[in-house]
This record gives sequence, C-alpha cells and structure tokens, in this order.
Amino acid sequence: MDEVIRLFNENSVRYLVIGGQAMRLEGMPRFSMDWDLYVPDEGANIELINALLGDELELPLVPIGPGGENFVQTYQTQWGVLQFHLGGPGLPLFDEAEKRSVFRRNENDTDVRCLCTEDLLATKRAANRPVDQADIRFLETKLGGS
Amino acid sequence: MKTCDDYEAKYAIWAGTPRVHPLPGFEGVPEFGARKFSSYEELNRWKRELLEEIARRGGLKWTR
Repeated sequence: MDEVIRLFNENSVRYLVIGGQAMRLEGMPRFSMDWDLYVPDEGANIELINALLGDELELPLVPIGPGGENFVQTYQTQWGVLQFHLGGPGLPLFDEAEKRSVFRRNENDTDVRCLCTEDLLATKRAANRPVDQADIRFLETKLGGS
Repeated sequence: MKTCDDYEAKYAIWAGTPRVHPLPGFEGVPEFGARKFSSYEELNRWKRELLEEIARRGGLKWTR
C-alpha cells in the first residue's frame, strides 16, 4: 500500500486515510484488512486516481450519483482492498477535513495523510457500531479523556 | 483485575505512548468484483457477509 500512498503524495492526489488504518496510525494496536480513503467528490481528482491506478480498478472511480449512488466504492487490488469514501457519517466537508489533516509516518517511513484525531473521533461516534467502541475510547483517552 | 484485562488501562498506555504497530501480512480475502454502495447500511451488510465468508474458509492466514 505504500506504493499507492507515495504515488498519491507525489501526484498531489487529494485523499485522507480514515477508518481502521487511521486508527492504527494513531497508535492503536488494531488490524484492518482494508484501506479507507476519504476523497472529494471532484472530477479532476477522481480522474487523477483513475489514471494513476489504471487497470487495478476493475471499474473506474466515479462521482456520487444524484441519488447518493457510489458514495463508497470498493476495489480488490494488488495492494489490498481499497475503499474510496466520497462522504460518510461524521465526515466534515473534504476541504475542512483536509485543512485539519495530519501526516502520520507509517512503519515503512511513508507519510500518510490522515484525518486529524478530533475528526476521526467524530466519524467513530457517528458510526457508533459495536466495533467502533474501543476506537472511541482510545481516541477520547488520547485527546485527554473528553 | 489484572492490568492486562483492564481495557481503560490499555487505552491509557497506548494513547500515552503512541507508536505505529506494523500491519501484519495476510492472505485469504475471497475474490470479489468492484463494488459501489449507496448507503452505509449496504456497505456494512456486504462487509458482514465478506467476514462470514472469510470465517467459513477458516479465517485469514498470517504471512508475516
């Protein structure tokens, strides 16, 4: 996956890692088999992703449809399972989230652009699934027990 | 209660000394085609079915 992240960084793709991988990069010992990426619903960025990932995307990434179609698009690739989110519970508008985003260095010294801790907590609280409860407590503790 | 059983203590330790835990290598994710979802309910339903299929196949296999 480092190859994809570096490719995105080098080509100024707008993305933010969210979900389980973002939790892991926050420092929580946690496994996730997929990579959730928040991307703006913006034609040029979507086309750039399609061009960079090429045939690995079985179907092209597309904007959200008029009825909310395609707001999450999932692909099985040589790098792993990639899930592109064009929106979702608790996610701020992309521009705002991007301004507050942080680069976190992963175990292979790749800088990964992630949702900030506060925004990640907001998404976890909004989703509020059983699987999110440990993530919420970890993030609350990290932020000072809020 | 042992400290290792106290999740609040674990969160405090992990949050106080954050470090990135390497993602283990794994294989055994069933093949699936590209999927596009219109709601989180739809996504979560599909993901639950995928996890159940992984379980039926004996789970993911760690490769490192």
